[in-house]
Amino acid sequence: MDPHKSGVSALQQSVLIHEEVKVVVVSCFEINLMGLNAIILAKKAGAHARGFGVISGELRSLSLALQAEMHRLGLLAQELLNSATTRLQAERRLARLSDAAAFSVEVAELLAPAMEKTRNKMVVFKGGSKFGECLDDAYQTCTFGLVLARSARIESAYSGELRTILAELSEEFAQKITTVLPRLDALRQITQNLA
Amino acid sequence: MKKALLIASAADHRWFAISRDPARPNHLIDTNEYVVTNGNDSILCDPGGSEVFPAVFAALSEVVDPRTVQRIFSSHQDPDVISSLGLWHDFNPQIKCHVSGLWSGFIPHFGGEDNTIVGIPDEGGTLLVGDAPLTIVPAHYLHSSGNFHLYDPACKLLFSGDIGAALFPDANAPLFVEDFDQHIRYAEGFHRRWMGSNTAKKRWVEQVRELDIELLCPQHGAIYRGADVKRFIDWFDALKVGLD
Repeated sequence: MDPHKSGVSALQQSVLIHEEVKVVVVSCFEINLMGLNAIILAKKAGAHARGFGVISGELRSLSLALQAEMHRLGLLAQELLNSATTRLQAERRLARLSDAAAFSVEVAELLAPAMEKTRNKMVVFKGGSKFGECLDDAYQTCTFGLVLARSARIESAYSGELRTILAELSEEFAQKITTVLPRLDALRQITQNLA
Repeated sequence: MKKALLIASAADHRWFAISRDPARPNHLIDTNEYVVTNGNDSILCDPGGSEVFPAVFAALSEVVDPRTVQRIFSSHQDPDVISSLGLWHDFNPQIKCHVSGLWSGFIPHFGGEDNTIVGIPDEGGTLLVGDAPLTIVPAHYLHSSGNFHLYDPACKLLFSGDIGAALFPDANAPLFVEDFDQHIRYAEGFHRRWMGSNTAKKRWVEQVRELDIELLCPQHGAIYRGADVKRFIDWFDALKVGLD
């Protein structure tokens, strides 16, 4: 993170991260529900659709994994918020102390220790690289999800009477996972200068 | 970290209570913050002190986009109520703080610019959240000389600042009053000492008896709901407070 980065912009960054995370968490919930629905349909379709049912179960697990990655990102955003607040408070104090110190050399000398102490409180957020690691994991999860959706599409062809419905479902899986990718891109963009 | 909990909703607007921070240092009094939101418009009621800003901000972000907070309603001037104003203002310099006009020259010591404060006249008024009207109810001298509460007729919710406050020994006490008689022991000393005037108290009681209230939401302690609201008002009416 740029050590000269102000508390305000770090605070705003934490908000942007949080808002993107919330959108992805909603998608995770939807994928999970779709997976549940798909498992029920696969059961109805009988032995032919057993493979489709297994893949749907994997997609549900994947949605939970992605949700856990978003939770990790949320915790990192919380750490960023904490350090941004500490920095903002230190910036405020330092600005007041600097105003006071400007009155005379004597006052500046008197206030120097307090100013130094306040400068030391301008903590630098150290968790920046973890955002990248978390996002790499999330991208991987999505890539795996797209592969699973493709496998589900293939399996649907062998799923007997319900094959058309299951083919549509596998398409919806792929579409839903695809909508997550721009959100991850946005998160990458927002967090790139934190590393 | 604090948690935000949905406590009421009507039509398009929702109220969340932000409360109970297990990580709060013991030397800070515990506070409840409330946010009412309607689409892209949110009002934060008593945003809390600067020390709890990160916990409040994070909990609020879970349920509301903080960029929708354009207004702050401050029941009065105490530091545990509004000393985070400067930090909120750093985040969004456009935020307006609605507070008794009596305090408009005092509160900027916590931060903000000359156009940050919107002084509320003594008789109160109305705030809109989205298109839903909220009534600003005067509660002067309870305890502050310039003091207001906020009533939402659609949700039947009264945000009552320090009235109804209770100081619990346990940081994880339930958010809603469960046993009134047990609960009120933690409210009695606070009200006797902090509420300075029986005349002001009578005036407030007469006012709120006219309102249809399902939830009475104080800035400290637990929320009164249903029959406990009337029970509390009767209790407060009978309590001798202050010096007069």
